Amino acid sequence: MMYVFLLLSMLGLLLNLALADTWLQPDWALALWLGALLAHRGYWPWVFGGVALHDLVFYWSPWVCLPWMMVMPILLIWSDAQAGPSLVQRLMLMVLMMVPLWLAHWQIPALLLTMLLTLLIWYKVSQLHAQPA
Amino acid sequence: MEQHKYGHYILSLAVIVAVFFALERLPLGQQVSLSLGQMLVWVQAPVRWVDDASLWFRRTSEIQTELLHARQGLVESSSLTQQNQSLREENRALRALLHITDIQGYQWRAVQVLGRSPEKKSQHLIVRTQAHEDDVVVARTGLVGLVNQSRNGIAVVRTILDGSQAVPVTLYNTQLAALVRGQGSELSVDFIPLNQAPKVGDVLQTSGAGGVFPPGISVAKVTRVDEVPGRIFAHVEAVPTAHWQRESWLAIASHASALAPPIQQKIP
Repeated sequence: MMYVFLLLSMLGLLLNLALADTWLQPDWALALWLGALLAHRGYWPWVFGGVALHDLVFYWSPWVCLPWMMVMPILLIWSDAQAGPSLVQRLMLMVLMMVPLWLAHWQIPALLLTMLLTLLIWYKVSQLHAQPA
Repeated sequence: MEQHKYGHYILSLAVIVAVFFALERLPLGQQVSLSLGQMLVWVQAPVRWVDDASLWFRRTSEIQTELLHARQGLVESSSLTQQNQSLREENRALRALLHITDIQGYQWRAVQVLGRSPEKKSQHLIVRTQAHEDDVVVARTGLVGLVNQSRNGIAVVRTILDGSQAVPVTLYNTQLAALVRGQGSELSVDFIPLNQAPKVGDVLQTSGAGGVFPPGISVAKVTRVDEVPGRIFAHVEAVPTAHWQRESWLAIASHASALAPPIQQKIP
């Protein structure tokens, strides 16, 4: 499944680059990787690779969103240990992940779209991992 | 067991960070952007078809409003062009006085924009042209940036909003010499003495110092001038005069020396 994610994220990067002047768009690739990580933190090696590529393509440096994303699995484990696994801390982490985009001067509507897309992908990937009782 | 898991994760993180620190010295991002150049053409094609087709279904009033905006832009750009022309005339007169004949030494051509980074004000562009490093990119209304890398007919451009860019500027008809630097979504103007500070709304132009940028191109419009207590330079903020977020075509100025075939000199 991760190969499909990689292809989709590449398509997302191309859409962002090619149509930045035409349509307001979410950050497709980041939403994809963030949704996957929130749904299953075991994807972190793929997520780090994908976000590194995202940063390289958009900012020519791997240090824009990647450092924030690297902290996410640790924060997830820590917050789950403190308060038990729940949606609240994951939602807060998702909002936290919008900070580097905001610092990189993305438009606020684009950030909101990115969060909505993240929620959708998180839900879909969680469904794939859900085991029948 | 849990500690072992954490250790594994932290070790992997350390390796990833080390690898990226090592790779950061290489222009990896620029190379990836160049590789994506041709794919951007394919992605844009269907959207352009839809855009063209949708014109048939749009209201006349919308199109008229757009036309008015475009005319307004044209008036603004023509006033800047006039200012540039007068500066160019002055330059020509000065060159005649100094007997300098080849101070401009640039060749101009139009290039198509393929893609741009998706921030509010794009810091990087991908254009379709064979260019040289440090070729100057210009829009109708002013300076855009410099070509960073080029390969296979695709070039990546670092705009003046990028933090690594510094443009020597001056104010028309003054002795001012300052440096415009990118701050992400706006520009800062450094080294402006308080007694020479420009007014809000003044347009700064390339001075030609350093030989990278041709003189007389509009760069930035001053938006804020503040006096900083205890400092000799004013705090000046500006915005680019060029609007490259919507431009499909830009112009590139190549140094004539870069285009000319190498001249073999005989050593006596």
